[in-house]
Amino acid sequence: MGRLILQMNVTLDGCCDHTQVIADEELHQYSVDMMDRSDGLLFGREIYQLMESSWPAISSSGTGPQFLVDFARKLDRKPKYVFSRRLNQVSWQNSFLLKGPVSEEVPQLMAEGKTLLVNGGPGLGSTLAQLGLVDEYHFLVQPIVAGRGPQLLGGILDRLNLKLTGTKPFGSGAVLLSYTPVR
Amino acid sequence: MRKLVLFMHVSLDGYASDLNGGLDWIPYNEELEKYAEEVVAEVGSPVYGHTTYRMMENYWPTVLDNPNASRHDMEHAKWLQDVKKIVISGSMDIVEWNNTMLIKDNIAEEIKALKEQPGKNLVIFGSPGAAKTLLELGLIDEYLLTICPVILGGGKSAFHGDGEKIRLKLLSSRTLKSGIIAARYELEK
Repeated sequence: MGRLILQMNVTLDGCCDHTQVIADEELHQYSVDMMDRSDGLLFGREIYQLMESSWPAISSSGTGPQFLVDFARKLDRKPKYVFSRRLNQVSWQNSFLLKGPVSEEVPQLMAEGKTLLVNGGPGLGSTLAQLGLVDEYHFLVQPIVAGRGPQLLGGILDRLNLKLTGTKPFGSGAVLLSYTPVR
Repeated sequence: MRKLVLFMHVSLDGYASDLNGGLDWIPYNEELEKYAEEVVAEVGSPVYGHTTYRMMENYWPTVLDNPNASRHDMEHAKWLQDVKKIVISGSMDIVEWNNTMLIKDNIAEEIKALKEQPGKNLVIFGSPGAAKTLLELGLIDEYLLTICPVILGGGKSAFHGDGEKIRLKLLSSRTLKSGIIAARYELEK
């Protein structure tokens, strides 16, 4: 069986707005390591479109800091699975549109033994958590009180009990916390 | 100058209590009790909102008369009895517990004056309502958060301010065996 890793940023007041992230080299290295660990990336439509609007251009132009170009090319090569009922096609290379319900598509990918990384928006993250499909949670806790924004896994209906498996403080003051679900 | 510190148990999604006001998701054990004792050691005055104050006032003085109380509880009860306690509440008129100061109005001025006094820190225990007020007034200097390994999916927000973003600096973090992360932050200057 494969593994599903859900990775999200969260502020101290539980907000998971992706704009509340302190981007630095350590965070970048972590992202690279996670990508290397995974066989594919899983997206909801919004995050996919957000990434598609910036990364392929960096990759094809080859301009900018080398580490960003390398990262963009790594993203190009990774299989990208996109959940969307609205989209009819996806044009970023190695992208695959998934039209079926999450509860069927994800177990199918997992049965192929893939390690999948979800850079979750609140919607898909909540769905995967609620369905019990997540094997590892990685929360990057930002040293920020956001004051407003979407709540971390705000769509879950039941309390989610977790077991802490790792911690790593970053120089930025963010702390990476890893958990597995208590089943 | 002494500091105003917020000490609160929070879920990963930033709640202080669940949808029913419950706290059973906090893995309370000897280690957390020990950690709380360390926090208490730096307290000059505990600060409460009215709900937490009522709970404390109704419970701790009874411990003093309880011959079966544990040594830890008895010591804590004695300490609470004597220490100067601060209550922030617009709705209360009198406080009867020994050595208790009620702040109804002019909260910022009163807290600033208390900070100027010598002694150990002012520490808010739980009290999300009072914490919100103090947060909005920009009076909280440090955050002592015990982040519990649970996502509640709803409840009472631990310290929702007025929507202003607050940038903090991580001072230290420590892992308890129960999976709690005890982290200390200060306001970014």
